Amino acid sequence: MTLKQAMEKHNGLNFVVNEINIYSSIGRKALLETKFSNNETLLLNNYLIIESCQNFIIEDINKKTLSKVRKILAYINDITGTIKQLEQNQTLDDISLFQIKQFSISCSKIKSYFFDLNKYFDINNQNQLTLPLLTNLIKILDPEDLLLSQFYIYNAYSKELTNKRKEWECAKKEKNDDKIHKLYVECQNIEDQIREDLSNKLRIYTHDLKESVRIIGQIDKNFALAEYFTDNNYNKPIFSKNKNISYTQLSYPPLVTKLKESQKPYQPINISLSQKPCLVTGANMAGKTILLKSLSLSQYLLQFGFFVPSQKAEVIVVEDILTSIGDHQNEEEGLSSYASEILLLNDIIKKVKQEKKYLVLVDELARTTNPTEGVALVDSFLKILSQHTSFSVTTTHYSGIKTLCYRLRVKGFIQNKKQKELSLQDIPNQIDYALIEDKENKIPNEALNLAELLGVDKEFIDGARKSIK
Amino acid sequence: MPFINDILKYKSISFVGTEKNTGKTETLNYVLNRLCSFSNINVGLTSIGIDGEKIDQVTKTSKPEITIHPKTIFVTSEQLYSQKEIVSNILSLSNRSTALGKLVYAQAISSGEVLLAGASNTIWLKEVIEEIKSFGAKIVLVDGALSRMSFGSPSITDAMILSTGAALSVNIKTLVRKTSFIYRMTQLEPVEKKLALKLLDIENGIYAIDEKGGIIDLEIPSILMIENHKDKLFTFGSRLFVSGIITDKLILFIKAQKNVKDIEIIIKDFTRIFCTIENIDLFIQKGGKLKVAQSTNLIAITINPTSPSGYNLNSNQLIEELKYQIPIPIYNIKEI
Repeated sequence: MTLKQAMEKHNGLNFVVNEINIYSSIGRKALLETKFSNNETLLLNNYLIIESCQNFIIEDINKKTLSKVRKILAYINDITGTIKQLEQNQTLDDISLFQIKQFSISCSKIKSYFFDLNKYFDINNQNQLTLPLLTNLIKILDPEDLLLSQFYIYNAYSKELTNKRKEWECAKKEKNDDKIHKLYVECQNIEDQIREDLSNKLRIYTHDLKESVRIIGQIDKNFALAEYFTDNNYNKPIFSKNKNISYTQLSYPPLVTKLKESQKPYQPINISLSQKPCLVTGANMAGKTILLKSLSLSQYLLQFGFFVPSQKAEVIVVEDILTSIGDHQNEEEGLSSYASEILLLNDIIKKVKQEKKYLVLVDELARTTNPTEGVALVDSFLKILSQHTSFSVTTTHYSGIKTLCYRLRVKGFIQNKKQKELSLQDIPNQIDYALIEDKENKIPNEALNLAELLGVDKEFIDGARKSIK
Repeated sequence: MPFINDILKYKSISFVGTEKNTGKTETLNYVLNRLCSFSNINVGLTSIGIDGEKIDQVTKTSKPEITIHPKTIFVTSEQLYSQKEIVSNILSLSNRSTALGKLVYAQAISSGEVLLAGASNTIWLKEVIEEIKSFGAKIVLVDGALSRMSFGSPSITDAMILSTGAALSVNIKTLVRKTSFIYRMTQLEPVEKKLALKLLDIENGIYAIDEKGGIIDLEIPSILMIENHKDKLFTFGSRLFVSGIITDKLILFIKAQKNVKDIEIIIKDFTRIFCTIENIDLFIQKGGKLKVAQSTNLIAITINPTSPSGYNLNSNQLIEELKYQIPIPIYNIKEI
């Protein structure tokens, strides 16, 4: 799975990636082609590169270097297509030759800016960001030693061409059309021969050029990530030793941004998960869905080799992230919400039974069917999860779940008796989103309180209260 | 050497024709030739969009290519670059693409003919002109177009030269009337600079301008849908900005309003007018105001008395009659 594919499935990931300032099309491609990985060594190495980039840009002098590099990156052309032409033994035209020259000169400029990476990167990672030397290649396209990002079939390539061009110019002055055309064709033929020679000479550098494109992508991508993670307080995840997942001050960036716009605070949460299934309860609007989305986003980020929006993160890599969050109604296929959901859960169960580690996140399981059967389904689902090796968080409004699991509850409404009627916008200020361990197996009956706070018809609420009693 | 000294005052000049075959390319070639032969000025060249066919597809008459001189900086597209009959040095390649590939910036080493191409919208055109200047061109000539199909406006250049002639009409009266109408439209009053800057960035839609200069989107997606949105037009006052073209339909509707005297229509520049002369004149006679965000500095008119079918107008009479209505220099392109 590439980052691009994952972004289609996950809005939060899409949001984060779009916030990252990439300067070149090569860098954007490199970022979007980042692969989801469960190889800890590889991920750790990615974290290290980003961390080294962060250390590099702390110093002002390096910041200036980076902005010079980025000015070049902003104009660098992706020459992947041209490299392919070379590989296929094609002869390049002037524009392609120009592109290779311009690209190579840009690379050598960037290379000269980054001469002391060794202070910040270990040897291995230094190589990851070190461009190949393209001096000899540039010489081929710069016979007059001008070191300018310009190109044409220079007179310096051939004496014969120089002479023919002179004759051609003379013919133009004489306005001798036949001669002009004859000399034009002759010049073209010599030029074509030179283009072929140049293409053959360049062909041996295809590997270096490909490597350069790859490294340009890595430079652009990693410094952009480093800068974004520094600016937005993302931190490097640590692989857990006790096989538990644990986040301190975990947040969900799309919501953080949205709240910031309306000058409202965001309350990050702490959560620890073992392989025991975790069941989360809490009132409506208490942030249960956001909790699941945060966990899923962070898991994606860390497995793409990125930092996570959390002060501290002890993490486990998983095979995949399996989620059932949101409305499942699938009208096109004629499935009801319930049917879609249950089929999705079936897929999850099938995978979990394969004994690979997954992160399973299920929001309000079976909420669209009757409570009696709903509770039974939640119970049974949790039981299956408890028998396998995955990590899971399931949220529910149902009480009476019997399966042994780790129970968390959102603290919920801050008790404040004087509270007057609230508008929808005020509700978040009245909720403590912190998670507490819940040993009572009782579900908070806050649906009616919430309705009351929202100023809903009194008869409606009182009637409901009576029914409960 | 008519109007060359005048031209040297400007940093960018666009060339437009009232119709195909009115001598726009000859005018451009003339100016180019003069600039290159009689001064050491580095000239830059681009066009609006793609004007690529060597043969005019409609009349099958041959269309002159542009002849350039050494050191001239020109812009064309990737595909047209390979058709050049000249030795030239590639300086830069645009990131964005046109229908014929990316734009190529090149400098001529020999002299010869090239086909030009250029940016397809106004903002990009501005950038292209600036980039050509950055390569050392002191004056940039733009092969422009006055057509509904063109999204790039030639008005953003410092000066404009208009070509007209028998291709527009073989009836001198009609030709003079149509040409002087275009001239009058180039003289439309511009709105205040602060507002103009804001308006020029707007890509589509119709807007109301309130008393404080605030720009309110009337949420009318297209002038073509004006019928369904008539009620919205004057909700915020009588000053309207139409970001695209204005058509007869809109003018007829506005002309019929009781408060036509108070109505001011603002368009980006005169190239956005696609109405009959009669309708515009009636609107203005009734007291309506038509203003532009970008004014046009028309500095000369050239005429081509020969129509594509071979009909020849009396050029002296034509020039005389045009001069009677248009107070700027007018030249016969065949005689200069």
